[in-house]
Amino acid sequence: MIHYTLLRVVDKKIKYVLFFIIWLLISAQGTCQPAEKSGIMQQNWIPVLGYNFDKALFKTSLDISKNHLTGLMFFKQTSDSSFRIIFTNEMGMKFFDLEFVKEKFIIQYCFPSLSRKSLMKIFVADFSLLLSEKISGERIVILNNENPEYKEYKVKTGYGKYLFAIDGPTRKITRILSSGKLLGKTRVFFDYNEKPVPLRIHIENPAIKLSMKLTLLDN
Amino acid sequence: MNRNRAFLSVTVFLMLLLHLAAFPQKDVSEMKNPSAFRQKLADATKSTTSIECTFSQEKDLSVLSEKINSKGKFYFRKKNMLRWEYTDPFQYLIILNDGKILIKDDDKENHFDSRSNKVFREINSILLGCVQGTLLNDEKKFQSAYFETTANYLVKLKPKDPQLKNIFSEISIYFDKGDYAVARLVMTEASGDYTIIKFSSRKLNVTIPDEKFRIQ
Repeated sequence: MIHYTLLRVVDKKIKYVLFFIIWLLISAQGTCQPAEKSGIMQQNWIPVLGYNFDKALFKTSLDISKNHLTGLMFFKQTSDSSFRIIFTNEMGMKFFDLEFVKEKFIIQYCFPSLSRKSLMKIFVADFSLLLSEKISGERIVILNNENPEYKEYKVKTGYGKYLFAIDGPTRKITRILSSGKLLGKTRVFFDYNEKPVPLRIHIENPAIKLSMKLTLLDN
Repeated sequence: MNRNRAFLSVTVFLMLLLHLAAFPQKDVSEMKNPSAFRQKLADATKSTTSIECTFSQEKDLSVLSEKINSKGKFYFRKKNMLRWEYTDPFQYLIILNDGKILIKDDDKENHFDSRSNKVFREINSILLGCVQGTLLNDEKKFQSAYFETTANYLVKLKPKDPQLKNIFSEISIYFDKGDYAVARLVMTEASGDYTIIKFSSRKLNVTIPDEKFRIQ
């Protein structure tokens, strides 16, 4: 009788130990660490457009398949939670006018030949990366935090999963790569000078032959 | 007697007020003789063989209360050669030469032939029509209204073509009253945003070398 009771107690303890080991295995994941709160974003990188962003004007070229558009792209933060992005050609003719308001976007205007739902979705997802839209700190996983020169984060946004590459000393984002399937694999590259806004931004999506190059003119 | 004088003074004052109110602040009134203007414009266009000037462009984004400014150089030589070159704050070049079009943006060049491309034929025609002021003769594509200010004749063109309407609700061309050259273009979009292009340091009938219009 005593022997049977002992066996039952030992059996329970083994179960607890097994559960504990399984929990350890799930949470460890090699060098990955789960993010704590949304503050991890602010601690570990500077938003693409910098802090206290007001407005910026970029010389822009947009290649989609065989089409080549050039012009000026104007970014403006219109309130704490809203942005406007207007793309015109050099002579002032508008290609599109997009408004981002509290994680939603509104197409204020779009030139008819660009007015395709699938294309707009891609633009919005790509621009959201520049505006740091829909990025929650709770969905950030640190991949590499040991190298002081270079860090990587896996980030889940409202538009998909991305890898953020950060320059350690400056905390500026140097590269964003997506692992998305629906919208294709977006790649965004940034070059900086002494200004907080990037000097050059290159967004490409090879799956749909999209390449957008922005060069800062005025900030 | 005093009462009559007072009444007269008030009446004259009121008439003056009405007279001022009839002319809005922008000093625009209906053109007295559009036919005569069109004839004189045709004569001036005939006698103009080339135009060289600088231009400044202001793009107004009304909803953002922002303006985007740029400037450059402009060359035209009869009958269908045009060089529109942005120099600041970016480099951008359009050359029209006998139906051929070159667009150069930084290092990238694109060549088009307006003779085989309807869209570019339209662009070619509108650009040349704007700078020569002959666009107002195209009654199939535009509805015109004629006005004048102290310094300029003003023709407002409303596009009839649905595709062009989608881009511009109105194109206003301001002609210098002295030499009938185009002094200013205002292109207004349906949203209310507009682009103003002002031409200055104008030289007419000067020699412009072929190089300026060369498309390689």
